[in-house]
Amino acid sequence: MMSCPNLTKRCGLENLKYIFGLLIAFALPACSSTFFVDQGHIDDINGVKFDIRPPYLFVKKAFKLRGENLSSEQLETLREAMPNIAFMTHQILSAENPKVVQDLERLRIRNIRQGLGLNHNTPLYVKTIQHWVVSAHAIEFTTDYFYSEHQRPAVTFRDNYRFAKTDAGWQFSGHPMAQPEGVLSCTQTPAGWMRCDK
Amino acid sequence: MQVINNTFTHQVQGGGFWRFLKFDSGTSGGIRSDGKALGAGCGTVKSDAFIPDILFGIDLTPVCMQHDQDYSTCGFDRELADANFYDSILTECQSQGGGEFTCKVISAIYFVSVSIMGGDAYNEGQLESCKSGD
Repeated sequence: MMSCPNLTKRCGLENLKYIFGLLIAFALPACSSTFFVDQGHIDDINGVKFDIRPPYLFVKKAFKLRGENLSSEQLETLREAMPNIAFMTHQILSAENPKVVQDLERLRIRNIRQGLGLNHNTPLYVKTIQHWVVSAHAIEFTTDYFYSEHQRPAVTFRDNYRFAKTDAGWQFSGHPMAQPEGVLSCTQTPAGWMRCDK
Repeated sequence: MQVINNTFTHQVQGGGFWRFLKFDSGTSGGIRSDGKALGAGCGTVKSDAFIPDILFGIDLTPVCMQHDQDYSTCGFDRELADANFYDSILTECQSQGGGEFTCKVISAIYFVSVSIMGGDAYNEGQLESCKSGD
């Protein structure tokens, strides 16, 4: 990673890497298009192998698993639960579908789209799944979503979830907090990253 | 003598000219610095290290995630996904303080690249998402 507020030789070389990377990427479209197809991969974190592959690949890529102070046992627990968490997240994103709305109501999962009053033409996106609290039988976490309407800047929204281990595997078991954390405020770091938090 | 660090320089100058020197793929040593798996943000697992998440000081991570999700939503029109991508980059860029010319250049670079090279990614995303019964 790099960002270069000062002019140094190393900085210039690092920038060249990106400029040449972009030039090569854009100059070889015919033979490089498969380079831009993501079929997923196995992500090894402290020896625990996460299957970052379809279905719901884009949801699995939103899992923030590094830098969360998770032990190998906790990571192993998350590896088991990942498919079910990804499925539930996908259901929440797809809640413009009446059948999905019914499923969310039946399971008492908060319908973010309904809560925010989004119309069916406004897609809801997942950004980050993080803040893990993991024990052998329960997992709590938050999910950051975002949406944009009428070409306005994106709004980021956070909700919280709990999963419990059952005979049928990891299942949603409730919301740890009675209300979602709600809309987050976003600021740009000196390095250029947008960081959103409560 | 006052020592001025980079953070202070940015606070005083608000980025300004130095924004043009900010490129960042969001990866370091083969892993992403935001703690997510390779392929989150801009680029795929193979190209993540080469495709900037920050270009000219503008953070494009969420816009790339949006485009990724649009491609992976069964039935989502590809032209609409690419057009939304262009509009979203323009909007986000301006909201992050990017100048009009810079924002149009960034939007054009990413829009042209996905228009030319995104066909296989779109087909793969559609195949997988429709198979899983979205």
